[in-house]
Amino acid sequence: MVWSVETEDVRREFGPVAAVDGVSLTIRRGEVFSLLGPSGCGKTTLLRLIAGLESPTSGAIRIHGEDMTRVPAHRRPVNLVFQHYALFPHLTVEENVAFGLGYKGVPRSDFREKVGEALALVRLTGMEKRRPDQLSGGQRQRVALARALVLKPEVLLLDEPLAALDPNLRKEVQVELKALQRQLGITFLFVTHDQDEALALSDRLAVMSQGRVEQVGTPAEVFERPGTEFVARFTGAANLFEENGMRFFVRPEKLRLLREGEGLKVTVEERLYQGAITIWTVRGSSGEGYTVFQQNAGDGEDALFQPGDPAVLSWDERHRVVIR
Amino acid sequence: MRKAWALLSPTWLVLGVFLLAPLVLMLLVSFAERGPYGGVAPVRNLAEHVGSGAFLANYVRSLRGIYLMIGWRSLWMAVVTTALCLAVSYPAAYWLARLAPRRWKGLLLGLVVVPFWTSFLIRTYAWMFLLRSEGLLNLALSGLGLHPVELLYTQTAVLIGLVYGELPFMILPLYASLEKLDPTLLEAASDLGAGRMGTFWRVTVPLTAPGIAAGVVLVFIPSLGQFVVSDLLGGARSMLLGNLVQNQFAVARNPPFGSALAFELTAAVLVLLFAYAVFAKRRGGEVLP
Repeated sequence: MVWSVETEDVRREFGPVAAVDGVSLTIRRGEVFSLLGPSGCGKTTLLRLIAGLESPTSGAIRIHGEDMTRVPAHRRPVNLVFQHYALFPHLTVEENVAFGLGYKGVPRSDFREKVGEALALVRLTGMEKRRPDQLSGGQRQRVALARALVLKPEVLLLDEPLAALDPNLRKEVQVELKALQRQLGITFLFVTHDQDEALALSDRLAVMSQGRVEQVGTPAEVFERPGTEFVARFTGAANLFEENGMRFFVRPEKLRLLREGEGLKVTVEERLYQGAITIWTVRGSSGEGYTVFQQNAGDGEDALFQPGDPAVLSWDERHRVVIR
Repeated sequence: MRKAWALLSPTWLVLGVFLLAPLVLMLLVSFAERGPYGGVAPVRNLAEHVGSGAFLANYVRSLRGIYLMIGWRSLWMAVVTTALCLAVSYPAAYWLARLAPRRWKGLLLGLVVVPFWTSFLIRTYAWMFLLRSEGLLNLALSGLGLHPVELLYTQTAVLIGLVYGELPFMILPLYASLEKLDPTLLEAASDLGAGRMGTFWRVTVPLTAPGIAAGVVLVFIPSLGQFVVSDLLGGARSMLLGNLVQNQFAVARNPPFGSALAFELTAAVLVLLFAYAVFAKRRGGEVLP
């Protein structure tokens, strides 16, 4: 099998700090893969290493089976959508999109057609003559996408593509990106610090922390079966329990808050009614706090408890995630 | 509006007294004739002076071959000086703005400005000591067993002096525009397939065009009117417009002709500045970086 991207024990040091500390990943052709992690975890550096904008201190990078470790950025079959788009301010939309075509050996006479196709793909037809400063944030991002996609890269790299957009637009663009990827079948490699975004968009994702990959898997695997405490906490709210010296997590939506029955005795502390769900904050006998998401399936569930009420916390065995 | 006038009045006063008034005076003098013992001859019959076209005599005289040749040579020297300054400054400014270690930047920029601490005249004299037959340059050359070169009092010496003197005025605006250049744009160019040369010509140069234009204007205009450098380092055959004007006032005692020449030079510079402003406006950028 030919992988779209392979990194083999890639390390990148900046002075005494290893921003990327021995990462080995394989990304399949045509999949949407995300690098998820907090700022400073090395995800952007890894993306830049794959783009060729940084070179690794050690390790190897292969793209579509070919060793690219020492190949400069301008000769790699990958293109990057920069976080702040990096459109050329002195060029029109059309000229921006056409920028790389000549280097790909596309004859000048075909530029117009290719640019037209790419702009149609991102629904910007008619904007050819505008300059970047005459576009909205969302339009700029689509120009950046068109500029990369027109070159038909083996992998499209996207550095926090949604971070600079306003929240209302973000969901919309997520849907568009996913549709675009399905239509083109190009491998997408995302970098994001937003777990909801990574879970929603990815076929598979890698959670990173301190330059290392903590876990790789499908969104459901990573979310339901986090391998480490870091992954459990970073991919969503998590409740830590300790029973007979064994530590485990249970996600807030898997917990049930009951008036009586089997389970952990707690005291209700706070109620946050959010419409679709109610978020309960409860406290155990020794002071430890837990969060419970309760689906608002019937009516009036939010009024079940008042702050200060005693309650019982219960969960299914199979929802326990045991951490080593 | 009253406030704006109040705030601007000192500027208007300075410009009026020290720029506008002398310019008007110069224009009037340029229409007069040289007196028998030098200086400005009083105009006895204004109507006849204007009616006969005699008031334009100095301008007509300035079109004679010898003066046109001096004008052409000055223009050429200014063009070459500007081109050389640009060629030398761009790599230096690029290095200063983008590659130099951050903590050295302040010091290095300071070094660019350090020559201004000494009078330009003295620095030009220093070049005489460097370039003359038994100067430092030739001592070094003969020390290396090479043939000495006769540089002082040549066109080349003038060029060296001009480039040396104007260099900071090119480096500083270039530095300012290169400093502002967003490095991710260079990465984007390289990501899209452009090599070093492609990135330089298609991204770096167009985006630093305001700095280039500002440097060109700042270097070209003073070089066009220079007379100290050509006077000290150039020979008799390298007279420039600046020397010609200075000569009319200081040697030939002919202020009317000197004024006419100076006025023509000023007009030429104004035309260039106007062209620059149009260029800057069309790019939608600021006039100076």
